[in-house]
Amino acid sequence: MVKNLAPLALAALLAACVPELDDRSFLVTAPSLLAISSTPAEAAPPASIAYRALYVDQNGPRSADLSWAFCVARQALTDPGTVSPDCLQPSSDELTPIGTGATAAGPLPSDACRLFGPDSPDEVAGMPAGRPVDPDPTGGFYQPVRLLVQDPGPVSTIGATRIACGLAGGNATLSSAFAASYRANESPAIASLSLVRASGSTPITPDTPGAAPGATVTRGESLTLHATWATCPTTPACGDGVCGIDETATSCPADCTTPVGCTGSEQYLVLDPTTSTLTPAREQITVAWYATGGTLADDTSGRTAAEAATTSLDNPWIAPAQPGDVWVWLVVRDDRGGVGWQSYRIAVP
Amino acid sequence: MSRSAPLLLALALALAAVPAGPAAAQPRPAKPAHKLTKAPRLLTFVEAPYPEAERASGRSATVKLEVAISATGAVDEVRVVQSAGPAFDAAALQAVKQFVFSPAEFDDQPAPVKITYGYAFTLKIEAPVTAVFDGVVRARVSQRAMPRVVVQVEGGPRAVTDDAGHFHLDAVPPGKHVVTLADDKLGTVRTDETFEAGKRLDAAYELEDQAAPSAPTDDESEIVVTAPPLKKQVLSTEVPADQGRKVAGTGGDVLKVVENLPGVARAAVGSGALVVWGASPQDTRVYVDGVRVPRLYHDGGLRSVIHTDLVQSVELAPGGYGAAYGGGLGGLVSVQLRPLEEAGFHGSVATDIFDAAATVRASIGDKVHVAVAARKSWLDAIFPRVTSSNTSALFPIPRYADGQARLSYRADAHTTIEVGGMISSDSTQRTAPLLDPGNALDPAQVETETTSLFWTRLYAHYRHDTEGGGAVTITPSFGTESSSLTSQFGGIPADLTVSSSVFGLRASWRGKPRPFLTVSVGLDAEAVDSAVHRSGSVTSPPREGDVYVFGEAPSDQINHDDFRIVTVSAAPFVEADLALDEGRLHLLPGFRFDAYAIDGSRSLPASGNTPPVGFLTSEPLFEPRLAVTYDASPRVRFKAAYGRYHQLPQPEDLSAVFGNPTLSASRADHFLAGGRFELGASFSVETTAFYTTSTDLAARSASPSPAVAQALEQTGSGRSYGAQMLVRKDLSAHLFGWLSYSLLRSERQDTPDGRWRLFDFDQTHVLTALASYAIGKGFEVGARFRYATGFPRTPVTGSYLDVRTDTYQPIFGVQNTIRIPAFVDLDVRVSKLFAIGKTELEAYLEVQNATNRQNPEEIVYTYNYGKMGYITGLPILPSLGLRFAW
Repeated sequence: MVKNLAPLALAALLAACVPELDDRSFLVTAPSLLAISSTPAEAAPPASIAYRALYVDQNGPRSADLSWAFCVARQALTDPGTVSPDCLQPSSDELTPIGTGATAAGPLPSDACRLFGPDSPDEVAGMPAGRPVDPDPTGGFYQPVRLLVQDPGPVSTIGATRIACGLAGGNATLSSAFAASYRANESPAIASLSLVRASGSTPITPDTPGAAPGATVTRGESLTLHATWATCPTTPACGDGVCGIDETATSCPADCTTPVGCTGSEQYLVLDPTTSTLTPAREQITVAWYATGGTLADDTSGRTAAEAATTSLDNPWIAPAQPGDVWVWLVVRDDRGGVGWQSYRIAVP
Repeated sequence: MSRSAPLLLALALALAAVPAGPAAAQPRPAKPAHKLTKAPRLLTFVEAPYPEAERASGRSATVKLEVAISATGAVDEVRVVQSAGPAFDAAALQAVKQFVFSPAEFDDQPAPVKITYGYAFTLKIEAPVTAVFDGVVRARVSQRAMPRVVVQVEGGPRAVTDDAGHFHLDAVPPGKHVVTLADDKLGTVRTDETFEAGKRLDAAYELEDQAAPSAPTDDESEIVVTAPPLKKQVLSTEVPADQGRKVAGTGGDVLKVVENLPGVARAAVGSGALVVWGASPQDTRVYVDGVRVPRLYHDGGLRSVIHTDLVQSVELAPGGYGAAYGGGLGGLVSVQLRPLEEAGFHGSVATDIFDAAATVRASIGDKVHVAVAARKSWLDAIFPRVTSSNTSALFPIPRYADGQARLSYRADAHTTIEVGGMISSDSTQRTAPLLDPGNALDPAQVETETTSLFWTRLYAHYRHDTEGGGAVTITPSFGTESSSLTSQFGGIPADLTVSSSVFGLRASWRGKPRPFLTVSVGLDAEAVDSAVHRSGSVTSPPREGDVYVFGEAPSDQINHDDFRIVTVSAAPFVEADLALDEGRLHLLPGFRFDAYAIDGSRSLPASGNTPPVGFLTSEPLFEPRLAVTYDASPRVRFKAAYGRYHQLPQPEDLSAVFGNPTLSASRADHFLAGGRFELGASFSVETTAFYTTSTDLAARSASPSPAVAQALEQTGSGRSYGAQMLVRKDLSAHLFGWLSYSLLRSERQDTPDGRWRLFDFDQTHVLTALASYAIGKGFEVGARFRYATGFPRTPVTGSYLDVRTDTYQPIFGVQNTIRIPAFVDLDVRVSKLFAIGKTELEAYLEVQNATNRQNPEEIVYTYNYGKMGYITGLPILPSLGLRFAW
């Protein structure tokens, strides 16, 4: 797999050639950390966040020595990547440990909105006011969390929690309206996975420790994996189980007394900077596919916000020619930082 | 030139034919009673060359020979019976021995015979098709001979005057041609000469000692200077249009030849960026007849923005240029347009795989001339038909068009006025899915990108040559520029749109107050009113010094800004040329005072309903310049120069969100020294060592908490040093070419205490060798070889997974410490010119990358940066072109 050829102004010509680098990300052949989820998916500091990791190898889920820490180092404009290099160190003053193991929990740093949000950084004597962090296209800000995997070697992985810091770039009126109508993100979830053959569709039961595989396929069989997630309402309706952007605890206590989100493509409010108005938007959903055997057509696929009404994806799969159990993991993400996953085990007799 | 008279009729001399019996040695028939029933007939005639020994005499002559013919018709023996001289006799004998006859018949039977044959020689003088051009160039006042003046017949040969000021040109095409005379001190002057085939034109040109123009004269032996000489730079390379368009790899575009000049780095494939002496592409200024234009090449670097038929020459001064120009930290490209002085109606149409173009030039009476040119690409129509859709999606296909219109009016013998316009349009558009089919359906990885640039210029050019040998020129101009870059990488948008109005004025007076002193004073002013819209990541698009990997997604932290910037600069300048030591030593001091002001609409990022607060920055800039040349001998010249230069910040860098509104001018100092050595009439070597420094460059803030409105800081410095060499063979004996080599190192330091790193476009070695040879009958062949060190890149030493974005992020080593492998390329060109009456048709085949070498152009990595590979550039690319001109 090759990084796509995006931003370089290579107004290049004709049939310039690209090397064939045949690495594929879907195939799990070694210990791999596939995902980190935070619960809740979005919260205001200093709320406590519970984290868990999906760490696997070719034999299925794997336990490991995992060290969790919040990174409190801001990224300079000259720093490449998505976080400060200090976040990648095994230990640093910029890291606040929150636990070890497959799960961990800890309160968001209280100054997260100053470090990684729209609030101005703490002033330094004699220095002009610092620059706030810019939001992502969904209006979000993120507190990075570092997960250090000691086995097979010290490898840092970066996760993040979306922090609720209010509206960036809006006036008081917009900020007030945003605070009233914006709904925190809910992590997406895989609702179902099916095997699709010409003869019909067979649902796969998610893996449960000690249980039998969720489905059986023949060696080398060509079929399609069909994944679905929840359908989220586009028009708020009180009583639909989702607290929409125009619903409040007063107008719809059933849905909003304890706001409940949707595990699919949610609707949310975002500021349009060109018109200085709050506009509703839909989440983009992507699914990363992983398997320990066979060949998947897509490593990652998804639905854009414009395709939010479609809540499923297909991925052709050729089962391995060798017998044995095949692990399949689906990691679903929305573009507000929410992550969910599901594990499946398929028998190949 | 010689050819004997092949007279079959000579056989009529069979009047003396007689049969020969076995005793063939007998001169007369053995049996006179036999009757000749059939005379021998010459079947195979062999032409004898006109003897070289007699060529000087040019006389006609006839050798009488007795030829003994066998019964089979073969020539048995030949002897001279009446000599015309040894040379003629030998040539005739040699030829006649190879004759073959039909046998003679006596009494209807084949029989040997002897005849007398008169072999006639006449020196045939072919009608001459070219003219000879001889002359001498002298200084008008001192009457001293002027050596090393390059005399160029447009579209014809070129010569350099010898120590006595003489020159000689053979094979000058007949007709009226522009003749240019140029040297470093003189500048370039032009005159019209009419050449007649077979005739010799003797000319004596008297030029002002220091290039002041003279008035036209009726004396045919003196030059008619139609324009004041262009003030040449101490270090510059000028290429005439008729040579430049024949260089392989340029597609017939003379301005593309700039890429092959010393001091210029090879641009990445398709970029067309001009990197001169290690300066950023935007640091090099481009002028067309004194009017600044935003770029020299269209997108993709395939074509220049000015039609070749309107170009007289192009000149590159990589540094150390005079006070008349400024505003850029890097080099200076000056395009001289072709004078519109032709009578009649002329034009051309041309096409190749890239585009189609046409020009028309016409005279309206004696004083008014017009020219119009237009070009439109059609690569975007052809390309998708011959390549896969994947290729089209990966690489944006340039769509471009340009046009120029000029109207010239010669008010009197001393005054010309020209109005003209230029227009140019570029756009690219693509949707680039990942090459990896595994991510083809990942909406977060699909990127769309649209770029465009549209610009115009409208200008007037007034020139008046004064009686005292001076000149006044005034060039006001107005134009617009609108550039746009819009991309969407997954859900990350980016937009940079700049719309500008550009007002320019250049005016100068040039005079010669003393015989040893030439002075030029003038004003170079420009005002630019820009409306800027920018949105997206602060670090997108990347700028020089950013560490990133090709194809890496930009940061998803986005912002936006809309603001207006007005820059005004007015730079009066003065230059002088003091000729000392009988003209061998020239001191050229200059001074430029550049006062500028920047008015911006927003000094801080937008915040709620807070009204924007503008800003005003102004500063006087002092730019001393000095150049020295010394002629150690007529063939050896040494030179040195120093200059200080400033450049205003780019409008988009003055954003309160993405840049820094307080940015002021950056500064550069150029130092150079070198020499020029003429090794023959058309062979020269020029070497130059240089050192440049730049300070106050805008660089990204390295602070984790940069101050508001200070995303950029003026903390960068730069330095470039090295040497360049140009070995040049001017056009003579149907051959021209050059070898240029640059050895340089260009470095940047982003903060005062930071590490000096390689400049992103640094190339240690750049070698170009090219030649073009006219092999006759309208055929020309040419080749170009290029070698260039690869661009620096930052090594990737590892990666980490960002699970929020589900992307691996690279971990970098030390910045710019590895390089893309070197670029090696061979281009060849073959052309054939068909003369059809007064028109001509040229067909050419150009093959770029003739060896089909897979030149690495960029580094790419697998999704987790576990493996790396190279994107390679153009494969072998043949291009067939046609050009019809009248």
